[in-house]
Amino acid sequence: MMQNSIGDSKLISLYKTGNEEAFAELLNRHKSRVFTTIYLIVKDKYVAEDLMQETYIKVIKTIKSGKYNEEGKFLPWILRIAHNLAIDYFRRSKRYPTIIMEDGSSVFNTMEFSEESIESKQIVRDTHEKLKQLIQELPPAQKEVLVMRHYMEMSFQEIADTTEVSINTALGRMRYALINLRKKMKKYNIAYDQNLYPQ
Amino acid sequence: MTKTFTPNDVLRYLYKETNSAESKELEEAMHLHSNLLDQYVQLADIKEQLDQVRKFPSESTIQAILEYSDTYDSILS
Repeated sequence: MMQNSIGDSKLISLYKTGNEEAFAELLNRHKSRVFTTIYLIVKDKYVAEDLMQETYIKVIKTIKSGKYNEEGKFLPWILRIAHNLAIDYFRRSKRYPTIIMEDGSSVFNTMEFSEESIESKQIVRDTHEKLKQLIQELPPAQKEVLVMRHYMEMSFQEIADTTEVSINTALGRMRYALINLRKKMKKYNIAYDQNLYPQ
Repeated sequence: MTKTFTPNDVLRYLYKETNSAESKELEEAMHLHSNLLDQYVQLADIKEQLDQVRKFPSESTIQAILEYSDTYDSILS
């Protein structure tokens, strides 16, 4: 395993010379962020797995064919590819609706948890599940900004430019998204506690 | 005189988009105005929860990507 201190651009340079270990490090370093971004848009683990592969196929082709732009940063670039593929899929699936099974439980098979009791692991799982559900229920404009800022790490100015709104609108949407989520999570936690520990 | 900060400024501070001078002024303002501090704490609380919602692709997906990369040159030739 390569050290995390090696920057992405150095890893890309190594990869261009045929160093596959450098690519494995790049993949490992950003896999969660890329996958989470896709998943929060398409809401289906299996589709997200496919789009994750498509994203990296584009990355591999671009770098190996010498078309990668050295001036840009790797992470925002790959997140933009992932985001575009996920949005394309989302639009297509809305145009041609398909029945997708809600398989919430399997979603957690790949999540990482620290060593805790079975009960506390379950509480963490339930809380994460609820939060993901609440993200999906946000108004589309708020969800878009939340995914772009929190998971894609775009700046508010970049989001404003991409979504063609003022920076204050982007900030306002993000703030409402966070406030909404917090209020709903608070309600959920109170209800959850009362359910677990009835008085 | 203390500068007036908006909730949007608090959000930019939370996501580290304020410059060092702005950050310092905002920290001082939060010290003086509890409503500003409350806003920060509320937003930071949910941000921390969002940080924990991270998902990971399956090992088979990772292997498929690595394999594609490894064999890419031979696919072309």
